Amino acid sequence: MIVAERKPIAELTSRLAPYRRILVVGCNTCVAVCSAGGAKEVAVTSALLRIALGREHPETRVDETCVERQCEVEMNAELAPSLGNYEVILSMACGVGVQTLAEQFNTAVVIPALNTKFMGRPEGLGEWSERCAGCGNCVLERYAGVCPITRCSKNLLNGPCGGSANGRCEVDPERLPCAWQLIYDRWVALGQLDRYLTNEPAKDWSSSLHGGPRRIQREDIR
Amino acid sequence: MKPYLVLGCDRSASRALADLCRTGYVLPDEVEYRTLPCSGSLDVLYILRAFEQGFERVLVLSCNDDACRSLDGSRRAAQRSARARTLLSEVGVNPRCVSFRQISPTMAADLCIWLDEFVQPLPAEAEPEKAE
Amino acid sequence: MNELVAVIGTGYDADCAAQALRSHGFRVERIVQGPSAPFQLSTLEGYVGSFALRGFCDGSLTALSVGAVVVATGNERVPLTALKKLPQHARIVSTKQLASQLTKPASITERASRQRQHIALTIDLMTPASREATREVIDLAGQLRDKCKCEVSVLYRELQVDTDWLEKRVRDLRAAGVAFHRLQAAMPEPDAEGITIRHADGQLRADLLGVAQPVRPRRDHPALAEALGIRVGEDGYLQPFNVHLYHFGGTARKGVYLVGRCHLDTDDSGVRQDAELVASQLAVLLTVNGTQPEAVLAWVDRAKCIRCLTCIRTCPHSAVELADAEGVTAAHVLEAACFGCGMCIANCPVQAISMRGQAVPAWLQEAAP
Repeated sequence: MIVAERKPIAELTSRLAPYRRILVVGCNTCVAVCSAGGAKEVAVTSALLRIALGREHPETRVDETCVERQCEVEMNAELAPSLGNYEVILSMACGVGVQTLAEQFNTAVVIPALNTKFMGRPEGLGEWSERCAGCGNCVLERYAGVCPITRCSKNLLNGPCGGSANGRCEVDPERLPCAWQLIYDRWVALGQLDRYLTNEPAKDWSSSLHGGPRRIQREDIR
Repeated sequence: MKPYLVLGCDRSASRALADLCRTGYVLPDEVEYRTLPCSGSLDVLYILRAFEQGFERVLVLSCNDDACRSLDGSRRAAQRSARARTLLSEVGVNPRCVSFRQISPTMAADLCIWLDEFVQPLPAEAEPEKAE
Repeated sequence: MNELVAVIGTGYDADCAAQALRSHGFRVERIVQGPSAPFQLSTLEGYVGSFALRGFCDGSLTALSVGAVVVATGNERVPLTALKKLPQHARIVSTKQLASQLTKPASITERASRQRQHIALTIDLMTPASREATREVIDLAGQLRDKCKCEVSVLYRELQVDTDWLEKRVRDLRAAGVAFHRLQAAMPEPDAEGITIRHADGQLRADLLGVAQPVRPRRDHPALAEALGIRVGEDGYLQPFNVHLYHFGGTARKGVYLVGRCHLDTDDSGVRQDAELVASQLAVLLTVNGTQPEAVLAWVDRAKCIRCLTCIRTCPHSAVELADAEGVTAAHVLEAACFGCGMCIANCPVQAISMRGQAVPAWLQEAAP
C-alpha cells in the first residue's frame, strides 16, 4: 500500500491561515491503513486545526468527511454538492488523491495534508517500511524476492558494499538490515546460493520515472 | 461548563475515587470525572475534543505498570497522553495542561492530593532560555 | 458449552492438571508438544467454551474442539555440563542422578553408604535458588541420611524455607546431624581424594558433591505462546507479571490457563495446589457463568471496517478476528473473549469500532459547532 505521514500542524495552519471555511477530506484506503489519513486522523487533524485557527478567528469552520478511495472520481462525486460551502479542501490522501480532487474540482483550492512517503507494508503495530519503488521492471526474481532497489541504502544491484556488518546496514545499523544479507540468506534457504554470483548489468531505468510519466492502457478492457 | 476533566480507569482510579467519596470527600465543582473501561481505551481524540469543547486541563489516571488487566493499557495510556501533549503544543496549547498519573484502587489518599493539585493554577512557565 | 479441556504438556505438571480437571468433572485431552510429538500445534482459534485447537497430525491439518486450554509444560533443568564454570569431575554429579541411584545396587550411593562417605549437596551453586531445587535437595538429604547413613551437608546461598513442610523437614534434618552452610563465591575444588568446598563457616571436605540443576524456562515457550495467542513474561516463563493474572495462572486470553512450573517457581506440592486452583477457576468459568460477556463490549461496524487488521494486532485478549458474514469480510469481536477494555477503539484508523453498553459523553460525540 501507499504509506504517508501527516505534515506538521504548523505547516498546515500557515497554508490554511487565509481561509475561514475548510473541508478536510480523508481517504479510507491505503493512508487509512497506515494511520495517516483515515476517518480517525481526519478527526484528530480537524480538532487540532479548530483549536489552532479558532484562537484568532473563532468564525473559522473546519468540517470533516472521508471518501473510500480519493483516487476514484466516482467516489469523490459525493463531495460535489457541498463544495460550494468551502473555500479550501485539505486533502488527507496520498498525492494521487490530492491530484484527483484538483483535477475533478477545477475551481476548488486543494491543499495536501500528508507527505506521501513510499509503497510499503506494516511491520507490526505503528511501523511501516518501504518495499517497492515502482521501477517498472521488476527484478525480484533475480534477488530471491528481496528488492535491492528499495531495501539497500545504495540501491546496489550487485552487492553488498563494505558497509554491511553483522547483517546490518552502516547507514542505520539499529533500524536497517543489510538487504544483501537478506538476499544471501534467502538464496541459502532456497538452496540456490550459486545465483548470488550472477553479475547484474546496469539497469535500464527508462521504465521508471526517467522515461517520463507512465501510463498503462488495456485495449481489452477499454 | 466545568474547566477540568479527569479520565480515570474503571479498575483503579474509579475505585479509589469511590473510596475517597465514602470518607465524605466531594469532587470539586470545577472537575468533571469520566470513567474509562481501561485506560488503554484512551484516545488522543478524547483529549483533543475535550480542549475543543472548552476544558482547560485534562488528567489521565491509569493503573500502575503490571497492574493493567489488559496488560498494555497503562503503557498505551501513557503513550497516548504523551502524543496528545505533543499535538497540543503544536497548536500552541501548554502541554502541561495534560497530566498523566498511575494509581491503584487503594490510593484514595494520593488521589485526594492529586485532585487538589489538579485544580490549582498551573505554576508559571519557567522563562525559556534566550537562544538569540 | 464444550467441557473438554486440552492439557498441553507431559510430565508431573500435566498429570496434576489432568487429574484436577477430571476431579471437577471435565473431560481431558492430553496434548504432547515437541518436534517429535504426533500433534503439531499451530493455532488456537475461537473463544472460551468454543476453542478450535488446530495443528498438524501425520502431515494433515486437524482441529480439536475444546472449551478451554491448560498449559502445563513445566520447566527445564539445566544440565551440569552446561554450567561453564563448574569443574567437570567424576565426584560432582547432579542431585537428580544421586536420587535415581538411591535404590540401585552397586551404585555410587550404595558405595557411599557402605563406606560411610560424606556427601555435600548444593541448592543454588551458580544460579538463584528455585523451590524445585530446594525441595529436591532437602528430600535427598533426608534419604541419604536415613537410608544410606551418610554424612550429609547442605550448602546454599539462599535457603528458601517458606512452607510448614519444609521448615519442619529442615529442623528435623538439623536435629539428625545434617550440616547447613552458606556457600561462598568460590567453586568447589575436586581432587583425587575428595572435594574441598569453601563456605561461610570455613570449608568442608566431601567425597561426593551433588549439585541441584538450576531451572530455566522451556525454550519452546515463545513458539507455544504465539500459537496460543498468549504472552511470554520478561523472565521467559509463560506469564507476564501482572496482578490480575499472576496469582491464579490466568492469561490475558479467557479460557487459557497455566498450571505449574511453566509459570511459577514451585515444587511438586505447589504444582498440585496450582492445578486445583486452575481447575476450580475453570469450573466457575465454564459451567457457572460460562461465556457471559462483559457488560461493556467492543463492537465493529462491518460497513466501516477496512480490514486493516489493526484491531486484531492491538487486542491483548485475542478477542478480535476476521469473519465472513453476509458476504462481507470484516473484523469481528468475539463477545465471550472481549474484556471491554476498548484498546481497539482508540487504535482503529477509520473509527469503525465503538463501545456497546457504554454511553458516549456529549463532549466527545460532536465536533464543535
